Amino acid sequence: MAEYRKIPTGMRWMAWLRFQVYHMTCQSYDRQYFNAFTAAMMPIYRYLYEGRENAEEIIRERLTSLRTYYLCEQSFSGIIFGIIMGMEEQKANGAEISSELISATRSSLMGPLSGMGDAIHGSTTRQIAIALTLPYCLEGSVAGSLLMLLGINITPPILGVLGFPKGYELGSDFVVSLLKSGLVSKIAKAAGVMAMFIMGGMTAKYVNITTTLQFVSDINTVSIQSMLDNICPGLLPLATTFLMYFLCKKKVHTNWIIVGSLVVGILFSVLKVM
Amino acid sequence: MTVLQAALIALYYGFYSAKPLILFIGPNVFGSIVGLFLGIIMGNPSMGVAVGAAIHTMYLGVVMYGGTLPSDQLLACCIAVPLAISAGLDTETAVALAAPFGAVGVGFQTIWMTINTSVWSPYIDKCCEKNNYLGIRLGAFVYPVLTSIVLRSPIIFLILFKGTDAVVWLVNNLPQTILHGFEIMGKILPAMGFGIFLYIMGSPIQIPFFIAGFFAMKCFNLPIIAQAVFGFILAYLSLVWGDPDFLKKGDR
Repeated sequence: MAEYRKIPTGMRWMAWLRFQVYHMTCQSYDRQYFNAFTAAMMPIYRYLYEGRENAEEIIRERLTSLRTYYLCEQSFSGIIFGIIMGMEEQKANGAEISSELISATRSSLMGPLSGMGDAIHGSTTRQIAIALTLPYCLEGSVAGSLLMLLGINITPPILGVLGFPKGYELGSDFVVSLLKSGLVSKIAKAAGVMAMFIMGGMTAKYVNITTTLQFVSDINTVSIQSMLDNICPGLLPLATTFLMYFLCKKKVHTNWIIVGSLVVGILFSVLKVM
Repeated sequence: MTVLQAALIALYYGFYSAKPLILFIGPNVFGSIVGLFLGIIMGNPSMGVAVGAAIHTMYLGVVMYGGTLPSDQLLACCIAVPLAISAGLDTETAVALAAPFGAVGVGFQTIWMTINTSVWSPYIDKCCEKNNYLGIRLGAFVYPVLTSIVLRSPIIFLILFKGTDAVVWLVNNLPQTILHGFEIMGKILPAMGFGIFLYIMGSPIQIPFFIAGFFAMKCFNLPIIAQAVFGFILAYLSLVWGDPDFLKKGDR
């Protein structure tokens, strides 16, 4: 056996970068993001098996063996990519790693890591960044918009850049240790509370539903809105939001809610309720 | 609207819908950010951001977990923001105009993904069999992105280019009650955004925090940073109060 052929650092990062750019561009219904995986892994195989007599045959075998269902959140997807790259390197250098083990590793990691990625980026950092910058955007602030762009994109690249080499070096042990420490889910839960509180405030500020109805009698006119404000400020916006929440809970499709809003809007306009 | 502006926006939509660079600039379909780009193209960034952000509130809770697209916020913005700027609509009417396009965009996405599934994926399969390395790379990136542009851009270009006159005509000729109805619809739809947010993000146990946040803002009219500070303290307390001995820990 010849000496151990290690994938150069530059080539690893190039492949990772390509993987991230291609990630969703050829998304399909039946196997999701697998095309990006194939296209990004291809140069790695070509390097690893270069100079072997049956190189073409091995590369074809390796490429087709990973043409199966693959779906993962982008930043953690890079970690899986690193792990598979490390396994492929060892396999090419003669380690006893079966092709089934490689595809099983990929399939078993993508579920839990996706969940983690969605919890960290989708539900937490992104929501908080949006909640903090949206008020400025609504006033038409360009700086607010740029800040949102920055804020929603802090954690995914950091995780991707830090996680990819770790995955390559440590393999799947890294993921297991990551999943076992409950810290991530604890922080995500607390941040969820924070996002809820901020969003409640945003609702109060940006859902403006008031009624123009009035009681008209001989003595005076009483505006219903000022009555409602005395009982409980913001009752109508909160009630409308929770009405929407229950409609979603009943699995009413958003398109029907939009159509319904149009009907209600015109109806209220004709009846002069709002 | 000039031909160049309409063409740029149409290309932006077609290219960006294929979601390249997702790790670094995110699933960047949020109205507040899309509005900035559209505003720059239309020569009024500030109004672009304001209208885009208003559309954003309607889709606040919409998330794209698992690569699904429940509604196309990007298309909603690409149509409503330029038309609002060029026809001088107010924000509520622009939101009402955007809503149907958010649903139309899902149709584009379905067609595009079907082409990916039944044309480009088998093509890459074939390239793997033949060791056609260039083909794999083109099939995974260049061809699907071009497909997206060819599929989406021309229609958007036509709507934008011809749409301004139609919108201006409608605004001038529709009865006032109908227009006011659209305005009311534009006021109701943000509530849908927050409702979906509650449904997707919130477990029932977290809903009291939402209500607390609502009344804190309603009563004290806090700046959003102060709201965040209160939220952070509440989040911290909600963690430590789970531990029954936590108050005793302070005793020495």
